[in-house]
Amino acid sequence: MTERDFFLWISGVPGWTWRRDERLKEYYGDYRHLCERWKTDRALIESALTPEVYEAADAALDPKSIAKRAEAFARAKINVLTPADELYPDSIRNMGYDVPFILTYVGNPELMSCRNVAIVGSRRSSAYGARMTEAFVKSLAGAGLGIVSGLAYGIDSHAHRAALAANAPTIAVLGSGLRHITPPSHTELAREIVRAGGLVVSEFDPDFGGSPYSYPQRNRLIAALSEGVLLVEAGSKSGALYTVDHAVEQGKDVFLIPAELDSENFAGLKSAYESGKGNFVYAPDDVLNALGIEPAQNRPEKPVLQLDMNCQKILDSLSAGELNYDSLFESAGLTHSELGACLTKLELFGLIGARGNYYYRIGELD
Amino acid sequence: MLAKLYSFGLNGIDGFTVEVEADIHRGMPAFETVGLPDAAIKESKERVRSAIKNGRFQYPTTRITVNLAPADQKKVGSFYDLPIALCILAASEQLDYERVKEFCFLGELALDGRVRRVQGILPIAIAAKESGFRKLVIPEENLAEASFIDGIEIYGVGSLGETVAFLNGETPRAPLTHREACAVLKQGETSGDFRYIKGQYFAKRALEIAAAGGHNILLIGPPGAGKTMLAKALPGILPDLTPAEALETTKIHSVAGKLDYSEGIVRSRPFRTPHHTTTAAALTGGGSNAHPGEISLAHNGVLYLDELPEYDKHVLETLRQPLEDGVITVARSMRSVTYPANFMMVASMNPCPCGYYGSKKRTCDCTPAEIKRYLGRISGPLLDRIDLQVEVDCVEYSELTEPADAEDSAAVKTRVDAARARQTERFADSGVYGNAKMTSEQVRRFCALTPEAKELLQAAFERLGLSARAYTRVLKVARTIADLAGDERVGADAVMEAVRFRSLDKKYTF
Repeated sequence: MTERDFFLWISGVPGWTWRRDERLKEYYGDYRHLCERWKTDRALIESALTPEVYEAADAALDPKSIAKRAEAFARAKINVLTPADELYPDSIRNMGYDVPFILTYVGNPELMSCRNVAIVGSRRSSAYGARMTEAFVKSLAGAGLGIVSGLAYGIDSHAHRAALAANAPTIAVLGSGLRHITPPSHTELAREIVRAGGLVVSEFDPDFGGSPYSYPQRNRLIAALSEGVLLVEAGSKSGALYTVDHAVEQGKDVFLIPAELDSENFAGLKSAYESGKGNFVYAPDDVLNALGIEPAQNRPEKPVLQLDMNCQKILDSLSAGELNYDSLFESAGLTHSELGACLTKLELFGLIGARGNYYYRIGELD
Repeated sequence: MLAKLYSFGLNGIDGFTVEVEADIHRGMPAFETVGLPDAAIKESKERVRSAIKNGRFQYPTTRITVNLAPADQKKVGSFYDLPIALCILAASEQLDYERVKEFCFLGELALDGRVRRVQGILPIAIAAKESGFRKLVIPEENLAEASFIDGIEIYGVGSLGETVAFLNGETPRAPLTHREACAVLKQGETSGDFRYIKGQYFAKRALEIAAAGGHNILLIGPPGAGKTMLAKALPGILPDLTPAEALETTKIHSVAGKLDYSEGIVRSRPFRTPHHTTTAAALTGGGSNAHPGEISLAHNGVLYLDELPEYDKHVLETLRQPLEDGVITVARSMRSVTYPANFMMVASMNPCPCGYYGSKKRTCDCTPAEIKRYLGRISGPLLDRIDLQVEVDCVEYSELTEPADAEDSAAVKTRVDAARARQTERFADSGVYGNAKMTSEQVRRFCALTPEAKELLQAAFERLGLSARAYTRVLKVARTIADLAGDERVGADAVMEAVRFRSLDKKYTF
């Protein structure tokens, strides 16, 4: 049996946890040793694994069923990495706890060994949160970092989408099997990530549908794959706080992006800050400095725009903050046609952003 | 003896000639009605007998057979009381039969001999004129409605006795004088004026564009944003009905019995507001008689659907065909009827189940899945047929208390009328009445963009995530904006403004 087969075998045995495996490894050292003594040392191995797990493992210990398992992955067109493989990222292998025996993935696995940052946050993000996510992703991606997140609603999906828009590599770490993308409505987003040369990865068997424990569990991988974790918005019970805990555990930097003070999505940031898990950052460069990365020197030059008087007037009005169409109409003194045309033009130039077609604000941060 | 005279029946909003025959012959006293009569016609023998007796005529105590021809077409309604009674009087020689022949008759009888009004007089009068009849006798109460028909002599009668006296030449009567429809058309009373709506410039602009081009419009906003108030003010800025439109709409209302009999004509564009519990049959028309539904009553006017997602999904889907074709065909086991249904759809909805998604007033506490499910109640093809998607939010208190009045509806209407006039000229003889109904061929011809506009529109589609199907919608709206501005070509400004009215395409990303 090769080491890869060994991992394929034990990854299919429920209850064969990393901790129990470590105990066995301490004793046997090499996996070959363990396999040789599998029958003879039964009592000893049982004491490390529990009798039930031993039973289950024994039943699955058969070259045919292991080959069958490998075949099932291949048939589903899903690739598998085990710690025995070279592509298995060191960052996860050396995590020090709960290292997954397999990583199933679709896309480019080399991204896991590149420099990445994680961006996580509330599933119920606000327009402000979406905006901040986009702004940070844009700059961090510009400096050559990949973006890791969890494909969930809210901040996660904004992070992935912003990375796609910036042509940056992005990794989605799932809390369910690859054939059960959760939430299902993000299946298309996952496909887009793969098409754009990104990676969708999971530590679970493809047919696993996810459980309340599997999502917080995968957060340790998000932290492991990243050099730092950015928390954008988080309620007091946000799942993103688990990612922060794992990042702290793994000695990674945690960056807190201030949320709106009066929103419930500030509570999680506050608790993370107060317990000393992370520090607030105010611009993408703060993150880059902390990670020791030079901000991209050749940032795309802003095109020199020929703005007419009307557009300039609207930009001035918006400099005070978000305004709705009606206030703009009153303050700018333009006709509807002029105002509508200006707004579309400014949005096209990326100078303003629109929420629906009623609220407008200045779009560029840096 | 046998007598025969003419009356009319209705199939949908089209009248057809009915021959009413009565035969009186020896035998046991009896009254038999044949020729596919409905219950109302079968019961008419009781009304006829009493009316004849109470009108101091002789009711023949012999066998009476009444036939309504063509015998294979179902006849419905109470039109035939008067012709049947007259037929019996003629057959029993109490009436000068020679003079009766050139008339046709319609009317319901009361037991005391009075003539009561009936539904659907307008389409019948039109049919009578078209089938070459020169004289028509109808209930007095229906006169207002019939007076808009020219080219046929119409006499109103109040009772059976009066009718007989008139027919026998004892009391001569002058025929009804014709009224021009345009003389009575006016702006209908509206429940709101733009003047009283503070702020909401964006929504008001969108309504102006919708009114000018006949575009369907969807208002999206939280509770209390004023969606209903805005929609109700719409009739005030719609162009006046043309006489032809008024008659067409009146026909439908007359058949449905929804006509104000003292007015006699639908004077302003109808504004129909079916409740969201409405059934498909009530909306599109139906029942055993294939009655016109709300969408036909809204013909040449507005169909307002408040809280769009609350409507039964399959009820909404029935709107797709009429929105496209402007007619609805109601098929029932006994008959199939086509009604006109060329209406402007105005709908309003909340952006999510709690109502506050995207609002400044309060934060929304719906989950993405809930919002998706809520929006999923409206199908893509239906949304596709809505040109203008407009978001509204609650007006700030300071704006509400602001003293200055806004522009009033009359001023807006002047601009709308001018834009409509331009379209009428453009679409002369093509069967299209507004920009919203342009065919793809016409879009190509009339929405030619300036090179600058074309470039900007392409950029907008690429950068702003608009769906491909929004393309013609944007062009049509841009055409209307150009019409409002009085421009011959669709310029960059018009196209850029039109892009603003596509919000659902990009609003919801989770």
